[in-house]
Amino acid sequence: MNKLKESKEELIKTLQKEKDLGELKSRFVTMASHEFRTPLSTVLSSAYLLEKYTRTEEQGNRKKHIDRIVSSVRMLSDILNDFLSVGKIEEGKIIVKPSELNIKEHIGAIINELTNNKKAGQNIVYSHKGTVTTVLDQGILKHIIMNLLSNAIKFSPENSIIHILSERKDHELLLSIKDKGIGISKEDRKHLFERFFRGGNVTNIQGTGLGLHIVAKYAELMNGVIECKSEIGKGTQFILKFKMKNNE
Amino acid sequence: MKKILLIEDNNDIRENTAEILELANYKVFKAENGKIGVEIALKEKPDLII
Repeated sequence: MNKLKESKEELIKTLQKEKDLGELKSRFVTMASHEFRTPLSTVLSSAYLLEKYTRTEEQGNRKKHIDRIVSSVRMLSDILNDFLSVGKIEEGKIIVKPSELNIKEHIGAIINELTNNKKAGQNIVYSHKGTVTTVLDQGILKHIIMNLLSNAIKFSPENSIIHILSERKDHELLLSIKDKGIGISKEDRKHLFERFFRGGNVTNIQGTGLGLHIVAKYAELMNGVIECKSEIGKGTQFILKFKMKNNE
Repeated sequence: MKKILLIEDNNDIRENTAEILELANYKVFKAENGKIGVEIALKEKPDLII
Protein backbone atom coordinates (compact mmCIF):
# COMPACT_ATOMS: atom_id res chain seq x y z
CA MET A 1 0.00 0.00 0.00
CA ASN A 2 2.79 2.35 0.95
CA LYS A 3 4.58 1.56 -2.28
CA LEU A 4 1.50 2.49 -4.27
CA LYS A 5 1.25 5.82 -2.48
CA GLU A 6 4.92 6.47 -3.10
CA SER A 7 4.76 5.78 -6.77
CA LYS A 8 1.65 7.93 -7.08
CA GLU A 9 3.44 10.85 -5.50
CA GLU A 10 6.41 10.24 -7.73
CA LEU A 11 4.12 10.31 -10.76
CA ILE A 12 2.48 13.59 -9.72
CA LYS A 13 5.91 15.16 -9.26
CA THR A 14 7.09 13.96 -12.64
CA LEU A 15 3.94 15.22 -14.30
CA GLN A 16 4.34 18.64 -12.70
CA LYS A 17 7.96 18.82 -13.85
CA GLU A 18 6.89 17.90 -17.35
CA LYS A 19 4.16 20.57 -17.28
CA ASP A 20 6.63 23.21 -16.07
CA LEU A 21 9.02 22.27 -18.82
CA GLY A 22 6.25 22.48 -21.40
CA GLU A 23 5.32 25.96 -20.22
CA LEU A 24 8.94 27.03 -20.19
CA LYS A 25 9.33 25.85 -23.76
CA SER A 26 6.28 27.69 -25.03
CA ARG A 27 7.34 30.88 -23.27
CA PHE A 28 10.78 30.49 -24.79
CA VAL A 29 9.32 30.19 -28.27
CA THR A 30 7.25 33.35 -27.76
CA MET A 31 10.21 35.29 -26.38
CA ALA A 32 12.71 33.93 -28.88
CA SER A 33 10.58 34.61 -31.93
CA HIS A 34 10.20 38.21 -30.82
CA GLU A 35 13.70 38.86 -29.48
CA PHE A 36 15.54 36.96 -32.21
CA ARG A 37 13.76 38.57 -35.11
CA THR A 38 15.00 42.10 -34.61
CA PRO A 39 18.74 41.34 -34.47
CA LEU A 40 18.35 38.83 -37.31
CA SER A 41 16.64 41.42 -39.52
CA THR A 42 19.41 43.86 -38.69
CA VAL A 43 22.12 41.34 -39.65
CA LEU A 44 20.35 40.58 -42.90
CA SER A 45 19.70 44.19 -43.93
CA SER A 46 23.17 45.36 -42.85
CA ALA A 47 24.77 42.55 -44.87
CA TYR A 48 22.66 43.57 -47.86
CA LEU A 49 23.71 47.22 -47.49
CA LEU A 50 27.34 46.26 -46.92
CA GLU A 51 27.38 44.69 -50.36
CA LYS A 52 26.28 48.02 -51.89
CA TYR A 53 29.29 49.93 -50.59
CA THR A 54 32.04 48.76 -52.93
CA ARG A 55 34.25 51.84 -52.87
CA THR A 56 37.02 52.62 -50.37
CA GLU A 57 35.56 56.10 -49.72
CA GLU A 58 32.51 54.35 -48.36
CA GLN A 59 34.46 52.77 -45.52
CA GLY A 60 32.45 54.84 -43.03
CA ASN A 61 29.24 53.20 -44.20
CA ARG A 62 30.85 49.77 -44.17
CA LYS A 63 32.07 50.27 -40.62
CA LYS A 64 28.60 51.34 -39.49
CA HIS A 65 27.03 48.16 -40.83
CA ILE A 66 29.80 45.91 -39.56
CA ASP A 67 29.25 47.42 -36.10
CA ARG A 68 25.51 46.78 -36.38
CA ILE A 69 26.10 43.17 -37.36
CA VAL A 70 28.56 42.68 -34.48
CA SER A 71 26.22 44.17 -31.89
CA SER A 72 23.24 42.17 -33.21
CA VAL A 73 25.20 38.92 -33.04
CA ARG A 74 26.28 39.83 -29.50
CA MET A 75 22.65 40.40 -28.59
CA LEU A 76 21.71 36.98 -29.96
CA SER A 77 24.47 35.22 -28.07
CA ASP A 78 23.51 37.07 -24.87
CA ILE A 79 19.97 35.75 -25.23
CA LEU A 80 21.26 32.22 -25.74
CA ASN A 81 23.64 32.51 -22.79
CA ASP A 82 20.80 33.65 -20.56
CA PHE A 83 18.74 30.71 -21.65
CA LEU A 84 21.59 28.28 -21.06
CA SER A 85 22.12 29.77 -17.59
CA VAL A 86 18.44 29.25 -16.74
CA GLY A 87 18.72 25.64 -17.90
CA LYS A 88 21.80 25.06 -15.76
CA ILE A 89 20.10 26.63 -12.74
CA GLU A 90 17.04 24.39 -13.17
CA GLU A 91 19.22 21.33 -13.37
CA GLY A 92 21.17 22.39 -10.29
CA LYS A 93 24.38 22.32 -12.27
CA ILE A 94 25.78 25.63 -11.10
CA ILE A 95 28.70 25.00 -8.78
CA VAL A 96 29.67 27.85 -6.50
CA LYS A 97 33.42 28.20 -6.07
CA PRO A 98 34.06 30.86 -3.46
CA SER A 99 37.48 32.43 -3.33
CA GLU A 100 39.02 35.45 -1.70
CA LEU A 101 38.68 38.59 -3.74
CA ASN A 102 39.15 42.32 -3.55
CA ILE A 103 35.63 43.60 -3.99
CA LYS A 104 36.70 47.14 -4.81
CA GLU A 105 38.99 46.03 -7.65
CA HIS A 106 36.45 43.48 -8.86
CA ILE A 107 33.65 46.03 -9.21
CA GLY A 108 36.06 48.61 -10.65
CA ALA A 109 37.03 46.17 -13.41
CA ILE A 110 33.39 45.42 -14.22
CA ILE A 111 32.57 49.13 -14.49
CA ASN A 112 35.54 49.49 -16.84
CA GLU A 113 34.26 46.68 -19.02
CA LEU A 114 30.92 48.41 -19.37
CA THR A 115 32.42 51.73 -20.54
CA ASN A 116 31.32 51.21 -24.15
CA ASN A 117 27.80 50.16 -23.18
CA LYS A 118 26.95 53.44 -21.52
CA LYS A 119 24.65 55.94 -23.22
CA ALA A 120 25.89 59.47 -23.94
CA GLY A 121 26.60 61.35 -20.73
CA GLN A 122 25.84 58.42 -18.46
CA ASN A 123 28.16 58.03 -15.52
CA ILE A 124 28.70 55.16 -13.10
CA VAL A 125 29.77 56.38 -9.66
CA TYR A 126 31.20 53.76 -7.33
CA SER A 127 32.04 53.95 -3.65
CA HIS A 128 33.09 51.33 -1.14
CA LYS A 129 32.99 51.23 2.65
CA GLY A 130 34.87 48.92 5.00
CA THR A 131 37.51 46.27 4.27
CA VAL A 132 37.89 45.19 0.68
CA THR A 133 38.45 41.46 1.15
CA THR A 134 35.49 39.16 0.66
CA VAL A 135 34.95 35.49 -0.10
CA LEU A 136 32.52 34.91 -2.94
CA ASP A 137 32.40 33.18 -6.32
CA GLN A 138 34.06 35.69 -8.66
CA GLY A 139 32.31 34.59 -11.84
CA ILE A 140 28.84 34.50 -10.36
CA LEU A 141 29.32 37.83 -8.60
CA LYS A 142 30.51 39.34 -11.87
CA HIS A 143 27.44 38.06 -13.68
CA ILE A 144 25.16 39.58 -11.03
CA ILE A 145 26.83 43.00 -11.07
CA MET A 146 27.16 43.05 -14.87
CA ASN A 147 23.50 42.29 -15.26
CA LEU A 148 22.27 44.86 -12.75
CA LEU A 149 24.55 47.57 -14.15
CA SER A 150 23.55 46.76 -17.75
CA ASN A 151 19.91 47.03 -16.72
CA ALA A 152 20.59 50.37 -15.05
CA ILE A 153 22.23 51.61 -18.27
CA LYS A 154 19.48 50.20 -20.46
CA PHE A 155 16.55 51.63 -18.50
CA SER A 156 18.07 55.05 -17.71
CA PRO A 157 18.16 58.11 -19.95
CA GLU A 158 21.24 59.81 -21.33
CA ASN A 159 23.20 62.11 -19.00
CA SER A 160 22.09 60.27 -15.88
CA ILE A 161 24.17 58.99 -12.98
CA ILE A 162 24.15 55.36 -11.83
CA HIS A 163 25.31 54.83 -8.27
CA ILE A 164 26.91 51.60 -7.15
CA LEU A 165 27.91 51.04 -3.57
CA SER A 166 29.55 48.17 -1.76
CA GLU A 167 29.88 47.93 1.97
CA ARG A 168 31.66 45.25 3.95
CA LYS A 169 30.14 44.88 7.39
CA ASP A 170 31.12 42.32 10.04
CA HIS A 171 28.81 39.56 8.89
CA GLU A 172 27.57 40.88 5.62
CA LEU A 173 28.49 42.29 2.25
CA LEU A 174 26.03 44.85 0.99
CA LEU A 175 25.72 45.90 -2.65
CA SER A 176 23.48 48.61 -3.98
CA ILE A 177 22.90 49.63 -7.59
CA LYS A 178 20.72 52.66 -8.07
CA ASP A 179 19.57 54.31 -11.27
CA LYS A 180 17.35 57.20 -12.34
CA GLY A 181 15.56 55.16 -14.97
CA ILE A 182 11.97 54.40 -15.90
CA GLY A 183 11.24 52.56 -12.64
CA ILE A 184 9.19 49.44 -11.88
CA SER A 185 5.59 49.57 -10.64
CA LYS A 186 4.57 47.99 -7.35
CA GLU A 187 2.51 45.37 -9.17
CA ASP A 188 5.43 44.47 -11.47
CA ARG A 189 7.87 44.26 -8.58
CA LYS A 190 5.97 41.22 -7.27
CA HIS A 191 6.84 39.25 -10.40
CA LEU A 192 10.24 40.77 -11.10
CA PHE A 193 12.30 37.64 -10.50
CA GLU A 194 10.04 35.22 -12.36
CA ARG A 195 11.24 33.65 -15.58
CA PHE A 196 10.41 35.69 -18.71
CA PHE A 197 8.69 38.43 -16.73
CA ARG A 198 9.00 41.96 -18.11
CA GLY A 199 7.61 45.16 -16.69
CA GLY A 200 4.58 46.82 -18.28
CA ASN A 201 6.53 49.98 -19.05
CA VAL A 202 9.54 48.51 -20.92
CA THR A 203 7.97 49.49 -24.30
CA ASN A 204 10.47 48.71 -27.04
CA ILE A 205 13.51 48.23 -24.80
CA GLN A 206 14.96 44.85 -25.66
CA GLY A 207 15.18 42.03 -23.17
CA THR A 208 14.29 38.42 -22.51
CA GLY A 209 12.88 38.70 -19.01
CA LEU A 210 15.50 36.21 -17.84
CA GLY A 211 18.24 38.48 -16.50
CA LEU A 212 16.79 39.24 -13.08
CA HIS A 213 15.59 35.68 -12.64
CA ILE A 214 19.19 34.52 -13.11
CA VAL A 215 20.51 37.26 -10.80
CA ALA A 216 18.11 36.26 -8.01
CA LYS A 217 18.94 32.56 -8.38
CA TYR A 218 22.68 33.29 -8.42
CA ALA A 219 22.34 35.44 -5.29
CA GLU A 220 20.45 32.63 -3.59
CA LEU A 221 23.22 30.17 -4.50
CA MET A 222 25.71 32.40 -2.68
CA ASN A 223 23.48 32.73 0.40
CA GLY A 224 22.39 36.17 -0.62
CA VAL A 225 19.12 38.03 -0.80
CA ILE A 226 18.01 40.59 -3.34
CA GLU A 227 15.55 43.38 -2.83
CA CYS A 228 14.15 46.02 -5.15
CA LYS A 229 12.99 49.54 -4.37
CA SER A 230 11.53 51.60 -7.15
CA GLU A 231 9.24 54.37 -8.21
CA ILE A 232 7.80 54.74 -11.70
CA GLY A 233 9.58 57.51 -13.60
CA LYS A 234 12.01 58.15 -10.74
CA GLY A 235 14.36 55.20 -10.72
CA THR A 236 15.19 51.79 -9.33
CA GLN A 237 17.49 50.48 -6.63
CA PHE A 238 18.60 46.88 -6.19
CA ILE A 239 20.05 45.89 -2.85
CA LEU A 240 21.95 42.65 -2.38
CA LYS A 241 23.06 41.23 0.93
CA PHE A 242 25.49 38.34 1.26
CA LYS A 243 26.15 36.67 4.57
CA MET A 244 29.84 36.68 5.46
CA LYS A 245 31.83 34.98 8.14
CA ASN A 246 33.63 37.43 10.34
CA ASN A 247 37.10 36.19 9.44
CA GLU A 248 36.46 36.13 5.70
CA MET B 1 11.20 62.09 -55.90
CA LYS B 2 8.52 60.02 -54.19
CA LYS B 3 8.22 60.44 -50.42
CA ILE B 4 8.00 57.53 -47.98
CA LEU B 5 7.30 57.80 -44.28
CA LEU B 6 8.80 54.96 -42.27
CA ILE B 7 7.55 54.29 -38.74
CA GLU B 8 9.56 51.74 -36.76
CA ASP B 9 10.52 51.65 -33.10
CA ASN B 10 13.76 49.68 -33.39
CA ASN B 11 16.63 52.02 -34.18
CA ASP B 12 18.76 49.65 -36.31
CA ILE B 13 15.82 48.32 -38.32
CA ARG B 14 14.57 51.85 -38.96
CA GLU B 15 17.97 53.13 -40.08
CA ASN B 16 18.66 50.13 -42.30
CA THR B 17 15.23 50.13 -43.95
CA ALA B 18 15.53 53.88 -44.57
CA GLU B 19 18.97 53.39 -46.11
CA ILE B 20 17.70 50.69 -48.46
CA LEU B 21 14.83 52.93 -49.56
CA GLU B 22 17.13 55.92 -50.01
CA LEU B 23 19.46 53.86 -52.21
CA ALA B 24 16.37 53.10 -54.30
CA ASN B 25 15.92 56.87 -54.75
CA TYR B 26 13.09 57.62 -52.39
CA LYS B 27 12.95 60.56 -50.03
CA VAL B 28 12.51 58.89 -46.63
CA PHE B 29 11.07 60.40 -43.46
CA LYS B 30 11.68 58.45 -40.28
CA ALA B 31 9.58 58.25 -37.14
CA GLU B 32 10.21 56.13 -34.07
CA ASN B 33 6.58 56.01 -32.96
CA GLY B 34 3.07 56.56 -34.22
CA LYS B 35 2.71 59.95 -32.59
CA ILE B 36 5.73 61.42 -34.36
CA GLY B 37 4.64 59.49 -37.46
CA VAL B 38 1.27 61.23 -37.60
CA GLU B 39 2.92 64.64 -37.17
CA ILE B 40 5.28 64.01 -40.08
CA ALA B 41 2.51 62.50 -42.21
CA LEU B 42 0.39 65.66 -41.82
CA LYS B 43 3.33 67.93 -42.57
CA GLU B 44 5.06 66.08 -45.39
CA LYS B 45 2.13 64.28 -47.07
CA PRO B 46 4.13 61.18 -48.03
CA ASP B 47 3.16 58.98 -50.97
CA LEU B 48 3.49 55.86 -48.85
CA ILE B 49 3.61 55.07 -45.14
CA ILE B 50 5.36 51.96 -43.87
